[in-house]
Amino acid sequence: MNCETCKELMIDYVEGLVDDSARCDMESHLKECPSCSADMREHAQLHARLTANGRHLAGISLETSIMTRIQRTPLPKSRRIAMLRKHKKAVVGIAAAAATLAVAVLAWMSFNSAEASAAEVLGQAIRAASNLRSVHIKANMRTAPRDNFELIGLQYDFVPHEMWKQFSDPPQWRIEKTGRVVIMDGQSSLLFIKPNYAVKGGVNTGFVEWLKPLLDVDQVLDSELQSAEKQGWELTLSHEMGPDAAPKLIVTIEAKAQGDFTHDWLKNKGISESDNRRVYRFDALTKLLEDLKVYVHTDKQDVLVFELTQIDYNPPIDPTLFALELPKNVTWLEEPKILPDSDKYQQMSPEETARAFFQACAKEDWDEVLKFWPMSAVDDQIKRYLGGLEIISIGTSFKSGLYPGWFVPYEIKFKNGETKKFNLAVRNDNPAKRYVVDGGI
Amino acid sequence: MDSGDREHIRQCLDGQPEAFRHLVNRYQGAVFSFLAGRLGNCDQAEDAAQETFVRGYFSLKNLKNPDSFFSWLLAIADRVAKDELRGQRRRRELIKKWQQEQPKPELSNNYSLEKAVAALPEPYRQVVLLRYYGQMSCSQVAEQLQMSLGTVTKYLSRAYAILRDRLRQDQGKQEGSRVKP
Repeated sequence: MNCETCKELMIDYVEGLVDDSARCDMESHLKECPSCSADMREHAQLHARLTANGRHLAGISLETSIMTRIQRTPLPKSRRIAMLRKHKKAVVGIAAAAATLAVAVLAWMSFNSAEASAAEVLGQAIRAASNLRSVHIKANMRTAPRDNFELIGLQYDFVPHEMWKQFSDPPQWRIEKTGRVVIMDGQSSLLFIKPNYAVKGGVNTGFVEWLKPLLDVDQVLDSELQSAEKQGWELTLSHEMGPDAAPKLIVTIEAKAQGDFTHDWLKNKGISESDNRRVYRFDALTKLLEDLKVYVHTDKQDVLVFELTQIDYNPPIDPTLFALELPKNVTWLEEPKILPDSDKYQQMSPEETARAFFQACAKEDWDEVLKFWPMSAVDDQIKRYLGGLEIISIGTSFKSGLYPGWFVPYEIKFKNGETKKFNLAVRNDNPAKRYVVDGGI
Repeated sequence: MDSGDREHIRQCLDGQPEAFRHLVNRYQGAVFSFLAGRLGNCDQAEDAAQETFVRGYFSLKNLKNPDSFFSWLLAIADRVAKDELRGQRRRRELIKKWQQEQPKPELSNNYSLEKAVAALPEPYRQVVLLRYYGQMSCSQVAEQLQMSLGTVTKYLSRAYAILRDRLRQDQGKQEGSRVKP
C-alpha cells in the first residue's frame, strides 16, 4: 500500500469501515512509514476526542424542558385553527359517546397542566356537537316582537325565542318569537308574520341569518373559529365551577361589527353589526354548549342583548312543529315579478323608487304600490296607514352594515297629521332586478 | 432523513406536539454541541438549544422540505447563537460603562473542539455533528443526509483535516500567550 491510499483510508480505518485485507495492508504500511504513522495517530486522537466529547454532550437531556415549554406556549392563532380544522375533519363522524367522554376527561385534566387554549376548547365543542339528532333551544333577545329575526335594539325589552331542529335528511327546523315564526319542513321554508302576512322561501332562504346557525351548534362554533382567524378576533379561555358543582369552560370572543359603517344606521341593530362580547359556556366533561350570552359594547356600558336560557340535546320533537297553519286572510309577500314595462322600473335609482312608492301611496294607486311592494294584495290596514300621505322630503340613499340594498331617508306626513322621519330599505337583488321596498315603513 | 422524522413533523403540524419529542431526542446532542461550540459555555448552550427547538417547533409550518429538517434546525440554532452573542456583547458593554476593570473570562470550559466543529463549513459540519454528537453511525448519517457512505467518509476526512489545522492553530496561540511576560 502506498501513502496516498493509506491516507485516503484513514477515516475508514478509525471508523472501522475497512475490511480485514485492507486493514492488514494499512497496518503493514503504517509500521514502515513514520509520516503516515504520525498522521494516523493524529486521526485516532481526534476520533477519540470527538467520540468522547460526543458521548458526554449527547448525554444531555433537553427533552423535558423543551416539551414543557412547547406545551405551555400558546400556538399562533392561525396554526391553532388550522390544526383544529384538520383534526375536526379527521374525527367528525367517528366520535362515540363513551370515547368523547373519555377524551373530555383527559382533556380537562390536561387543560390545567398545559393551559389549553380557547380555540382548542372550541374544537372539542365542535366535535361534541357534531353528531346530534335534535336540539331544542330557548333564548331571550332584545328585539321588536314582530320585526325581523336579525334586529336587536339596546333599548328593547327581552323577547323570548324558541327554536327546534331535527337533524333528519333533509333537516327540519323552526324558530319562533312572539310576532314571527319561520319553519323549514325539509322541502321549503315559510315565514309567518303575525297576524296575517306570510312569505314562502326555499331551503336556504335567509329569513333568519343569525339565530338559525345556533341550531347547528358545531357550525356556529366553527364559524366563530373562522371569524377569529379571518378577522383577528381574540379568544380567551377561563374556568369556573357551575351551579351544579361541575367544572365549566368559558370561551369569550371579542367580535367586531361586520360591514360598512360609513353610515352607522345599522350599527348595533344586529348581532353581526355590533362590537360585542360572546361568552360561551361549555360543560368541561362533555364539551357541550350550555350557555351563550352576547353583550354589545357601547361607549357607556356593555348591554346584554342575547342569552340562552335552555338548550336540550337530542330531545324528541313533535313533527307537527315543522308545519304551519295560516289564517284564511293571509297576505302573501312575494318576489317581484317581471313587468311588461320592467325597463322603466329597473332604471330607477333607490331615491326615485322611494319617491315613486310614496307618491303611489299618496294617490292611493294600490296597483302601482304593488310594483314596489310585491304582495298578493294591499290589505285595509296598509291602505289606512299609508293612503293619502304627503311627502315632505326624500334624502340621498346610503349603505350601512351588511345590508345588500340601500337606505333612503324620508319624511312623510300621514293623513291624520302625524309625521314620520325614517329610512326606507330598498333592494334589487331579485329576479326582476328592480328596487323593491324591503322595510322601514 | 428517514420517513420517521417526516412522519413526526407531519404529526406536529397536525396538532400532536408529543411527536416533537422524537425529534428532540434525535437531534438534541448535535444541536447542543453545535451551540456549545458557538457559545463556549455549557449553560448558555443548554438554554440556546432549548430555544432552538422551541423556535423550530413553532416555525415548523415554514419548513418547506422536511428532508432538510436538521440543516434547517442548525440554521435556527445559528440565529439563536448570534442573538445570544449579541446580547452578551451588549451586556459586556453596559458593564464596561460602570467597571474600570476588564470582566473576567466567562468560560469555564473552552470547548475548543466544539468551537472548531461549529466553525466547519457545510456540509462537513452536519456530518461531524450527526456522526459524533448525534450518536449516529456513518451509515445512518449517509441515510439521514441522503448521500453515499463514501461521500460521508470523504467529508469526514476533509473535516478531520480542517479540525486538525484549527486545533493546531489554537494550541499555537495558547502556547504563544503563555510565553508572553
